[in-house]
Amino acid sequence: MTDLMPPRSSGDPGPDANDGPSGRRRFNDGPSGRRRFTVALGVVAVAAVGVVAALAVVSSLRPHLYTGTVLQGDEPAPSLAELAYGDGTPVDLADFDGEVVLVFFGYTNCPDVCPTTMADAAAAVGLLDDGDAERTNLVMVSVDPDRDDAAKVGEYVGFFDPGFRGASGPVEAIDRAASAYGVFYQLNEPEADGSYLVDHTGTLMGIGPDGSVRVIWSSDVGPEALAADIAALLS
Amino acid sequence: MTRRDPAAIAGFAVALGLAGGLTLAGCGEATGAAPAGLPTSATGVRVAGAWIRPTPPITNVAAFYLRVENGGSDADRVVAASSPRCAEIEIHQTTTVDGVASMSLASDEQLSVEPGHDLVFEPNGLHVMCLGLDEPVVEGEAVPLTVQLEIAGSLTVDAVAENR
Ligand SMILES: [Cu+2]
Repeated sequence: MTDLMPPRSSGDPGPDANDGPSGRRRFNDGPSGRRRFTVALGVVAVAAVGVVAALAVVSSLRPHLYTGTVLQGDEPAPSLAELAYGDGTPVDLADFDGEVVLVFFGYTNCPDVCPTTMADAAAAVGLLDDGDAERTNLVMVSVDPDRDDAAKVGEYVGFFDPGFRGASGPVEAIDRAASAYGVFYQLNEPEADGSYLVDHTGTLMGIGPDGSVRVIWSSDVGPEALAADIAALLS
Repeated sequence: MTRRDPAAIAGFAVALGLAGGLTLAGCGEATGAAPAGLPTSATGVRVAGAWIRPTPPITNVAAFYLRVENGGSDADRVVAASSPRCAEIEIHQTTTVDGVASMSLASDEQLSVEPGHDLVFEPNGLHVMCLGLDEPVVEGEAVPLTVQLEIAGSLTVDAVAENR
């Protein structure tokens, strides 16, 4: 990494060059020459400050560059009402009007992608300011209802953030929800002990305050980028 | 630290289908007595930065992440792993294609580490998957993990439980 930096010494004289012998030689046309040089430096400095200020204004006006994939269109997010939380309440996305909901399809016997994504989502919420964190929700839908009831999924995600919620339902309802969200999943062949893995779309889907799916994040998005995107959705 | 019975490890490796060319010759003299700090094999291979994510109480699977650093002069290969906390361990590669993540047993090629190189196990990639976890992994605890290499033998480290 550091070997990409050019050596600091040779070539570029830097701002203090006129203090050294070679600098004096170069600007040896008397006091007025030195003054002109100083004035020139001053102009450059003022211009630089101006450029920095202008850049700051431009960047505050420029729309946020999302790390996730931004979806166009404002159709309401597909309903999850056929699925329920652990207490039996159907999932009603209208509960989250004006807020962000992260929707994730996974399973609790998942050792790598699911806990990584849940831990990153929890860390992202932790990075948001209190107001934005309050308005950020997560619903994990199980793609393995034989082993995961909604209460279990709720307990699973609640481990990462007590505000996260888990949902499950009949296989047919999960299939419909998954396909509506463009999620693929497939149970693998069971091993000798009956356990099995599930291949599944590992993306996080972000429903914006307007109730439409606005952003899709890959499972390696990381907390910082995810938090920045959520904050932008909420702004 | 727990020393595993080499025969049991070999049997396990065979069960995993990873045993092609497995040698146990280096096993034993490589790690010697209970390691303090990071054990390095006689061939210059070590396991560094091992960690495991704390687990929700309702699950009994987990993943270890680590780096196998080959400071020696010969290529080596991870052939198996074990932990007293896991009934079974499989070494997996997560592959994500069009957003769909799937896990499969890592291939010999994916587990090889050339001299001067690191083999990195990290989230959403290579991981040492723990099945039949005996009890939840709690933040801050140290979970023993033995990584077995074809030539370097077995190296036992403590994986730190932390969320990152
Ligand atoms: Cu795995």
